[in-house]
Amino acid sequence: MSVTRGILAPHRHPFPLFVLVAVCFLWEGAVQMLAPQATLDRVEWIETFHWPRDVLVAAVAVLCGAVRATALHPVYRMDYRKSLLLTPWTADKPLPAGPLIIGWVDGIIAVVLMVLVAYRPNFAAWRIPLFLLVGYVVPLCLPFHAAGLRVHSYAVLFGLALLVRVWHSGIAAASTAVVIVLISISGIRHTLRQMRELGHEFDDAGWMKHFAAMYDRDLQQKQKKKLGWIFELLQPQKPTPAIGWAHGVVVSLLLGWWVYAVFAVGVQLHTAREMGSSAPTVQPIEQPGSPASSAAGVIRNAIIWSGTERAGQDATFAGAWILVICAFLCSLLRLCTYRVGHRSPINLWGRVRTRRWIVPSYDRVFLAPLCVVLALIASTLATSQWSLNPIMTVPVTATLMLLIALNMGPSLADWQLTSACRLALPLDIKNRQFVEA
Amino acid sequence: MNTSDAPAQTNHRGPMIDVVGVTQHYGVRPVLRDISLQIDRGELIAILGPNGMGKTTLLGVMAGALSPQKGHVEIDGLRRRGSVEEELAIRQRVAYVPDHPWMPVHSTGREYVLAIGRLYDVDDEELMQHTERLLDLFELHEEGNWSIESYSNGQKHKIALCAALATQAPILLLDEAFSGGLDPAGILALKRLLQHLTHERGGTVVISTPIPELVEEVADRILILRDGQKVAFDTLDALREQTGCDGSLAEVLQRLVHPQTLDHLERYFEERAQ
Repeated sequence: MSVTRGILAPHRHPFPLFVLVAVCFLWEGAVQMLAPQATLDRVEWIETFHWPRDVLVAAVAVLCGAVRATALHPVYRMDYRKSLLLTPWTADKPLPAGPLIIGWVDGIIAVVLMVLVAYRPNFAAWRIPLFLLVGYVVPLCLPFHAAGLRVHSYAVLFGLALLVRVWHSGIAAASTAVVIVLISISGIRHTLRQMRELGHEFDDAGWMKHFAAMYDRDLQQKQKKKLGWIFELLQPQKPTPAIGWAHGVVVSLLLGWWVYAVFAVGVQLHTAREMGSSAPTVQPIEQPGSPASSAAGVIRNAIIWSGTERAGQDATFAGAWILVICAFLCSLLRLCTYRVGHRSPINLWGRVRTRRWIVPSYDRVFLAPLCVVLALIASTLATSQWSLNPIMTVPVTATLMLLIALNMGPSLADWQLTSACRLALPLDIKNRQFVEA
Repeated sequence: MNTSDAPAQTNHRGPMIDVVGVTQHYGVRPVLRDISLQIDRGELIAILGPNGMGKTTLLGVMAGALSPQKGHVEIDGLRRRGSVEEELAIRQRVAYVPDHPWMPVHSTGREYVLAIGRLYDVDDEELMQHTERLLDLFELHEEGNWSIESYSNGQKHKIALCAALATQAPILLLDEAFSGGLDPAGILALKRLLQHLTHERGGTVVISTPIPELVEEVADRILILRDGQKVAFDTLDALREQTGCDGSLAEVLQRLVHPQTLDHLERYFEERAQ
């Protein structure tokens, strides 16, 4: 099929992998050759100079997974999808450009990458396939979302955070990854089944357009066609929020869950380092008793015993920083979404001189960011006042802050269409894509 | 009559545009001071006045690009920014071309006009026919396929006007309509088109310009602004009567806005003669 020409998939174009292998061997040779001359301890020397290569191998694994998921996916490739829909192809037949579901070829790639880091004592090579799977499932969430398979996309994203949380445990991480991949495979099948009916949905989905444009030069040009000043701001269409109310709730919970996973692992690693132990890579430090024997046991313990005894002053400090960053980003997100092209009707100096400190109709836009800041302050005070565990309060507060930023009134349409704002030339219009008459 | 030219009519019987006690300032200096006026269906109104007197601001307030600090604007009986539904209904009825519109560089002129027309839910077939006629009228038939980036200033201005006209909105607000490098043929075409829209199709047009000669023959009523205040708002004949001047609109404007300028000129020539 001519439209599949030029598709980049690791198993079709293994040359970059050969380059990576060569780079790793050269790197290894250089490290081994220079190690005896180093004044540092030999192990420390090798440890220090190996980590960039390990990061590179892990990044390549993620990239291989991502390319695997997108390069052959008809939803990501508009030309491929459109030509496919002109044929009698159905979801139960194999895709002409190759299967979407990972198979033995991906296994070989994972093995090659594992071999490159296999003999390193402090880097568990079994993590490489996990990196590849993470790279594979993340880009699949977008087609799921565009196809209306929200449960699949959210399940994958929640699952990935769980994977981060139980990363230290081989059995739990592998089990979680398997479940995520199974959900993804189910999602792929549903997506392909719905593709014929939802062709236009994929065409209209903003995210899909963005990613499809990576492969389609014509689409890149078409996407640049907007309406300019002033029709874009005065158009007789209701401004639609980027995200609906229910999705706002789920996305907020997702943020909280991710904050929890990353923060708990961070506290765990920090505590282990302070104890001078390499424990986090071997067994979870929170478990008061012996390590759990099953994946479910590890997951349960990891969540139940999240730093209950060990989250100390450092965790509170780090948690405060996480919340400050979250508050800043949530407020920025809210204000940027609402205020793009919609400025205050009167400047600050005008407010001061005319003693019109507040323009209620316009200043409603600042209520949600203000509530975000209040949530941050309340959470910080409560955590210190009642000695709450930051591993629990930080994710809850992050969830609350994003929930406020996404779902608190006034709605985008209400504020932009009824507030006493002054329309101003947005920066993106002034920058590149538009010309002044 | 071709349906593509017909502005939408509503049941509202009052003025098409009702500006009520509008005061506007960005900072401390008021740009508009307590402006009230009513514009009826089928009227072509010209806003005149020297630079910096509030013409663009008043058009911006009518168009909804600016919110006045005091007062309000009603369009076809609906209050501007009164509610989401009212505002959307007003936007459907009003097409506004600012003095410096920005257009997408990668679009062709024809694509841009069609995109704006579709934004206002104009029927596709009507829109395409109307667009072709507009491009012919402004001598852009060939150029319609060129990228906007390659247009001269005058061509960009013409395309912006075509886009506003393609919306078939019953109210057109055109800031500096005859400026922006418009050639004599373009000026003539626009004058005839605006007269046709208002007098024969019942549309309402408000244009602003600092140059009175350009609107003298087309404007039904003339609004003259000075220092953000309404100096006069009437027909040309009534303004002549008011000022006691039988001259051109430019002279009437001078008497209303800068009465001392003519005295200074007379004194200058008298002194030169001596």
